[in-house]
Amino acid sequence: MPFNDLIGHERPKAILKASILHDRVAHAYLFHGEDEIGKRLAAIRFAQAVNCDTDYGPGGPDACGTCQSCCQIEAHTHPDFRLIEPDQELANPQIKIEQVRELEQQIVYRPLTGRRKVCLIDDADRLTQGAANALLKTLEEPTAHSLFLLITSRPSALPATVRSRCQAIRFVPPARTQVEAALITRREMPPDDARFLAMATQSRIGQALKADVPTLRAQQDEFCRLTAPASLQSIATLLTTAEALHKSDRAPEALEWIAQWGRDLVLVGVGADPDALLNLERLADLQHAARGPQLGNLLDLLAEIETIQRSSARNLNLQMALENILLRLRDAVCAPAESRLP
Amino acid sequence: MKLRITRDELLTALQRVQGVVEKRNTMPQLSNILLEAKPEGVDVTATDLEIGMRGLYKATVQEPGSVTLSARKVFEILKELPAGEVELTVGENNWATIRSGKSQFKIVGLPGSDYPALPSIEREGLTPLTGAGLLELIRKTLFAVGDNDARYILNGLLVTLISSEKKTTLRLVGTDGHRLALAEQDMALANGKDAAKEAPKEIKAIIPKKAAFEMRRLLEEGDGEPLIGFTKNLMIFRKSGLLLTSRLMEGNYPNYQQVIPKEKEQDKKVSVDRVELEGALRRVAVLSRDKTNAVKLTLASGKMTLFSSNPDFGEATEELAAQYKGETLTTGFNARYLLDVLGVMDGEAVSLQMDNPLSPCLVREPGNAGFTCVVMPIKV
Repeated sequence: MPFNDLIGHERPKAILKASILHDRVAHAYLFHGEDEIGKRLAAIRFAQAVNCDTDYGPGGPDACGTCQSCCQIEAHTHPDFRLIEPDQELANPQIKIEQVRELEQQIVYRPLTGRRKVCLIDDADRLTQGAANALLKTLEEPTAHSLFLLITSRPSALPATVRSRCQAIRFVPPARTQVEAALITRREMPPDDARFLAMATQSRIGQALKADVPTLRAQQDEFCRLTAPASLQSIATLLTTAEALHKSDRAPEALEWIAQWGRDLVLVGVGADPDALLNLERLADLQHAARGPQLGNLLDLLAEIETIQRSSARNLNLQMALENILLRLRDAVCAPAESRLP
Repeated sequence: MKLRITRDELLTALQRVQGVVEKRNTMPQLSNILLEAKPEGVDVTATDLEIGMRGLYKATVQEPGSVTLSARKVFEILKELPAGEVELTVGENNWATIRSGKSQFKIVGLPGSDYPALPSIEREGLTPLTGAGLLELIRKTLFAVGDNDARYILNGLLVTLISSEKKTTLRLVGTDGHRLALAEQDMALANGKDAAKEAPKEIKAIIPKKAAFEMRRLLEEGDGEPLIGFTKNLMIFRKSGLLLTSRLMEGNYPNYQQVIPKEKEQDKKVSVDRVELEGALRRVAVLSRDKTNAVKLTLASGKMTLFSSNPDFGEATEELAAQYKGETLTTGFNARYLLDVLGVMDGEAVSLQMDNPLSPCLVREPGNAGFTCVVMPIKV
């Protein structure tokens, strides 16, 4: 059954199914949670389940995935299903007010073939202010038979007026074991690769299903070499690496890997189960590096990286941020050695 | 899929659907038409998801199948082809080939299964109407329907079908908030015994302007009486083998009956010659203010005076003979609104009734109780 395509998300699935079963589907939902964990798929499956032509079995409401309605929703050709998303080709992808106005003109009609007109707004936080305001009236007093599904990874970036008009459902990344199992069955991967991918993508199933293992492994090697205590010694190397990374637009990815390394260091430092480590193959390196730094410093550093990642979309000088992080990592890892100098 | 069809037959089919095909191009299939070859002929379907049109056309089908092709391009090709037989074949990857004489066109197509299906329609339960009557009702109300109004419901035409044992009455209402037109007519007796047994029932639906427009176009082609019916979400219009479906609009139509003033309350009643008034309005409106088309209308015993002025150009005035008894009344109108009403009337005379200079004005035709129009005056 198509709802099962969705890996993890047991709670949202249960809520959505129950709402169909008891005929209490709200007029608007806000699916929020991290990027690429299956929110959009959940929304599409929900739209299919609401409009499915086949009677559902004992497993509760679900989409059959094979009837015409389900296929058309999947192919985005269903007459009662509309998808609005920001134009990715723009430098600053946004959902424009024209898109919302057009939607409003369509929403006044009764459903053509389905039971409900479903409107899926992906990356709803990309609604321009005008677009969000234009949507308010429709969201508040929707015509009968309409269902809005808003998806966002940054719910707080949405105007409070929009948020309050939707029923919010939180999505959390699926458990690592679930992602591993999915990778093994769907991508027919060896368990080792599956584990690595699930760890490296932090259980973001969407990313994990698309990611290329050799590329990720190469990246891991590259950044492990960068964060190895030996290469952290030279400030000049750090600065040139930071500059090179920034110029090739790889600063966000570098931050991600440094954060993962830092996380592993903390875990090794507190003596956690090695199974939770991403860089398991480099356990010896980690143990060696973890001897120096103080736990508090590392945790501060991780918090700092998180702040940078969050503000990276807002005109942040990524090169400087990256330099800063590398130098702080250097201070944390190499500090005791230096402090012994007179 | 492979078929032979005369160029004129296919051209007629395409001409009919040109107005339906989506121009905004939100879904690529919607700028296409769906051709379905069946043993009995070829079905040509077009839809923009608001309205859909389907018709069966005579063709010799050698191999059944379906494909969707660009409506505009196929139309342009057929327009230029000489009369005669056209051969249409669809090959791999939905490439369609049109052959006629020595010309050959290869057109990119999309699979027919991707096309949004028109809901299947039963033939039962449709109400027969008189074509001329329906055409007149649409003509008399469509002008008042709003255009791109933010209150979306006003961009639709309210259709009320009242069927009882004895007769079927159809009432159409259009309004844009400034004027309102209501036309109703008794349609031909429902032919069939089943209808007689049914209890009187009233169906109310709001159809988009575009659907009314397409219905008018089909009715203007003449021949064949239309059938009309409503399902929960659709209006079905069938005429001589053609099927037009339109989605209904959701929402509450304003209470138009409240807007129409009672005849008793309107003691200022004037009757004038319709053609004379129309001509005079056109002339006087030339010098009215551009945006509002404001024309001042003064009623005095036995005459009506029209006056307009524009500070940039000058002023115009004209006097008409009118049947009016009562005290002098001065009011103003948007000339465009009055001209629209006068334009759809057929009678010789027209009557305007109002209570005071700012009350809604009831415009009617003496001898035609089925048509009522309300125009709001403006302050001048």
